[in-house]
Amino acid sequence: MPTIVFPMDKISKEQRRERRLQAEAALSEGEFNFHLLADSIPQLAWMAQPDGWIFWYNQRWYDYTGTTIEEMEGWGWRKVHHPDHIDRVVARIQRSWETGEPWEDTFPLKSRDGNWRWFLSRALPVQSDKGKVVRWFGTNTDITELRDAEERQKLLLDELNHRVKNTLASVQSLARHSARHADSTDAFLEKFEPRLLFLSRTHGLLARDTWQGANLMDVISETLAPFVADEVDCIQLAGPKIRLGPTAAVTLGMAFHELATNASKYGALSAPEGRVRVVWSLDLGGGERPALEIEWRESEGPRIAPTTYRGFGSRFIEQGVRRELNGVASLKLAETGATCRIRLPLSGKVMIG
Amino acid sequence: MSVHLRSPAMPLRLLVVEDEALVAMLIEDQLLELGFEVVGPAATVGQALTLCKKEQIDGALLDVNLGGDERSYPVADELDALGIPYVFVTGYGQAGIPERHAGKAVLRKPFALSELKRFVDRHFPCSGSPSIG
Repeated sequence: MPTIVFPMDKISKEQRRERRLQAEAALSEGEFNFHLLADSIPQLAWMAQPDGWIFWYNQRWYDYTGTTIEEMEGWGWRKVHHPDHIDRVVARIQRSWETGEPWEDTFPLKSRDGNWRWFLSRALPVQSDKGKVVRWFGTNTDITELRDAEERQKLLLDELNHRVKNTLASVQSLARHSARHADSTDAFLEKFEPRLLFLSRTHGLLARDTWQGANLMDVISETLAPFVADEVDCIQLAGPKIRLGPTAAVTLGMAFHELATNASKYGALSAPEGRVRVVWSLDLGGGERPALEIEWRESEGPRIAPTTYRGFGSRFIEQGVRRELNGVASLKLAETGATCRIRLPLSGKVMIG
Repeated sequence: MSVHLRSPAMPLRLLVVEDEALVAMLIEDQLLELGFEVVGPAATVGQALTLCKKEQIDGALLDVNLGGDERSYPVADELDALGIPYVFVTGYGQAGIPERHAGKAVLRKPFALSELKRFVDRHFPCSGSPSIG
């Protein structure tokens, strides 16, 4: 780090005392009121002679830095500055001392307990009738909380931007998959729209908790809501509280959306007496990695020919669960309706609570 | 070290790292449509590193943000060590990439099939050239 040599660094103790006395003499009038004001303001404050020699700090400065006037006067303030910032700070303030232009800068200052906080610092020249700078008056305002809030906001914006782009890519994915076996635009829309609306509802759910995640129960009920408008009793949900990360909520929700779509076309949700039961439980035992087990079981639906249906839905359920959530999913179509079993290891995306 | 000579007829094998299932399926299908082979998609750094060890890979497309705090940079480091070319795929653009990978190409999500094709052709060795693995 280059050292900037100040002519005042080398002066004697006597000269220092003299400069302080000179300055204090000039302050005598109204001094009591002045100190009352200066020590009551929330900022750190200081005064300097025209060449930048600081001869006075308010009490808050000493309280914050844990220093004394002997350490601080003149250019002693450099010792509470951060080594990464000091050169810039010195260069800029020196320019103001020389030109008489108001000074403004933002930098960290070390507190008495060794922590760094950020300050917005300003100094204005006090001028004589003839326009000559006779003194500088400066303040340091603590903006640490403001900076932290700005930082959080920036992170949130980045995250939001990432989410928007990924969501658009998800919509693109849904569009392409919906178009694959559709032989008309109507057939495409019939597949695409419900998927898009599912994505929108799940995002609504996630937005409620600022994209931190969502509850499994909420994800399933939100996903199934459009399929049970008239008959609320046809679906039963039961299981412990499970929290899902944002992408896991979309992936699992999508799996249930595809199961429900199929059930409403051919399975239990296509007949008034049909039932769907979704139950989940935790498997914490046996030295293995703790896991969540979910079962989707349809019953009382119309008899259907047992096949394995291999559309986007079944592929998504199997691959999404395996790849993204490191789990396994098995889907069976029996005469009585579909059964889907999903086993997911607990992780940062699938949590208890 | 073995030298793997690729015949012009063999499609490139591209590792895809992407945590969101819907997006992973999209990229996988697009690459298949363009005639590439897909390794993965892997959703985590762990899965991707395992595939790097086990599979013959000619190039990789790495989603940057793998959910939570997980980033794909350790996979990029491993690919650098193996001398395998890769590109980042992200919604962020160049801004989110740390300095040590700053020179790498970034494909911004979402993208059209033609864009993906141009990108892959430009950044991965053409299928006629030998690759060392």
